[in-house]
Amino acid sequence: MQEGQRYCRKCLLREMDEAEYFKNMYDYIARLPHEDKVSDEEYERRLSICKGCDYLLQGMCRLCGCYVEMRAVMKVRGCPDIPDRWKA
Amino acid sequence: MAKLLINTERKLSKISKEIYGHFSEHLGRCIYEGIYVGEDSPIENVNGMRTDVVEALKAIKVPVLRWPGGCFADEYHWEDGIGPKEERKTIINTHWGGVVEDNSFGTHEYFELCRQLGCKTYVNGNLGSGTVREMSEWVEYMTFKGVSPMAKLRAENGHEEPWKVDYFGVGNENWGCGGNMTPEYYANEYRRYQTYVRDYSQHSMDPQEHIKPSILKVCCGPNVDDYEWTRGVLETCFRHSEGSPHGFMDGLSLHYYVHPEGWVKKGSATDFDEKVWYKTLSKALYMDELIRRHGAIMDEFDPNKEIAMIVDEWGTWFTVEPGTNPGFLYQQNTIRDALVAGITLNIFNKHSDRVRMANIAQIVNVLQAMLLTEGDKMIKTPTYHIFDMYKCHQDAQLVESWIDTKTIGLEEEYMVPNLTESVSIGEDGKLHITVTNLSVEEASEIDAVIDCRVSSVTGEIVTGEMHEMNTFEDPGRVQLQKFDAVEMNEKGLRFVAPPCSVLHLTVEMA
Ligand code: SF4
Repeated sequence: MQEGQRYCRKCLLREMDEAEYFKNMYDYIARLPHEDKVSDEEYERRLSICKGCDYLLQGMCRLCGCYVEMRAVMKVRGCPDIPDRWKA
Repeated sequence: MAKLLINTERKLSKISKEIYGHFSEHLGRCIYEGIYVGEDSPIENVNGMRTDVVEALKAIKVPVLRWPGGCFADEYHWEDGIGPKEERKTIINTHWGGVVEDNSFGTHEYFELCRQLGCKTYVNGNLGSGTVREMSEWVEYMTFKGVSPMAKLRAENGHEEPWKVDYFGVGNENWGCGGNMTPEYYANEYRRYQTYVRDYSQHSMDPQEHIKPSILKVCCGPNVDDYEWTRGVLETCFRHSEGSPHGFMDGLSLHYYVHPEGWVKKGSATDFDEKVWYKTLSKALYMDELIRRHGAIMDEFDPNKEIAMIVDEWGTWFTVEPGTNPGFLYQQNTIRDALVAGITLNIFNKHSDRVRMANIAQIVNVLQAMLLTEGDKMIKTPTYHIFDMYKCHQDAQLVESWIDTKTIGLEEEYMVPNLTESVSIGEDGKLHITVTNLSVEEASEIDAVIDCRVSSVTGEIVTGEMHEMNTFEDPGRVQLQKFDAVEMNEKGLRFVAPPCSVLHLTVEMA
């Protein structure tokens, strides 16, 4: 195996390029089938709720580990809090 | 027709139940959210531990749980995680996603979790950035019975009685995140630190406890194929070690992950083609060579196999699910993961004379997890069902078996045998056969020739199209199903293993 012998999980994080990760995420959102996504209004409504939520940490929901800009766009996803904060 | 030969008269080695062990790190949502939600959570819990998760894990008979890391172990200072919760130190977990670690899950909570699971304990100490005194006092805090400063502190924090530490890891990945050490340097440090991992059971009044050391010490072993590390550490640990049995250690660890596209890119957990399927499975099979070659070096120093090989990190490691924190290592789990688990566990069973513990990474929400959670929802992954199926092998007696295979695959470099198997006689006196069929499309008819008369057989199976998985929207797609297409005959059994399947037959012998 040509994999590095003495690399561990921590080393990887240090090497990670964040900007590229977020670009990939936005490309992924753009490629999602239209029917799987919520409307623009619903998307903004969900994000505004996240913005006022204590579980939001640097764009990520601490309860589920998802970046909310990704999670909020998907129809099937809910807010993981109990009760669901996105449910009007 | 493939022949499967089983010789029940030839008993080879005991399959330690700890081979079916697990790993939980302060990483992503493994401990926090996945296991521990706190007593005030709206999610049903007992002393802060999620009831749904504990119940699901009890059902697969988790035998041992490694904690608190991983890389986290070598930066963990145990004193931060004891005492009143509101006074515990809050730190940033710089290793994993930069989230706040409030230390609300610490030593007491870990032992409470193991109590609820009914499992053995495997605590990993901090050699990389901790002191000898810190490690020594932690062991005293956890295990000393009687009057001592640390025992007093434990009692003040609400636990009068000592706990039982079954395994203690002296550092983790010290070739990397645990200090970037050379084998010789680590081995000398290991010798020094482990001296102060005192076995307080020697002070016990119970004569039974004097027979065996109570805490089994685990020395940091190699990553993947780093044979130089294995040899270097053993050489230094065995030098001038007269009077101290087997190089001051009871176990030597090995870490190996399967990432189909390599270390940097890894590859998607759910989006892959047949080429990547075989590539992944061939990388899972590589575990066999790693055990044999590291085992051969261990044999030179320890021919009686007194030191256990402990594969305390293994499993699939894919690119994280899109849109999730890359530091959380959250990935989905498909039929491909079920095959990786079945293949690897068959390999461990077959090497159970040397491999006596393994800990898949990790138990909930991280890497090849058993369970995934989201808020109050929980799903069981295909890998969970394999651990459920294979629990029959825990503490069973491995017996000789051989299966006739053919080589399949799409790329020369990643060809695999179409079948793997392992067979044991369980504590229930029954014969347990586990078989994996690695082929994407071809079923295999198997003729099992057994050296005793079969009086009854039952079966269970995990199978499906290679991408199938359980999701929060569709949690029951991959399940453990009944498998009854088995024919008994005078020589043994005949059955057909479907493509992409892992199956288990329970055989009663006349
Ligand atoms: S998804 Fe829910 S819990 Fe998470 S940040 Fe948004 S509102 Fe808060």
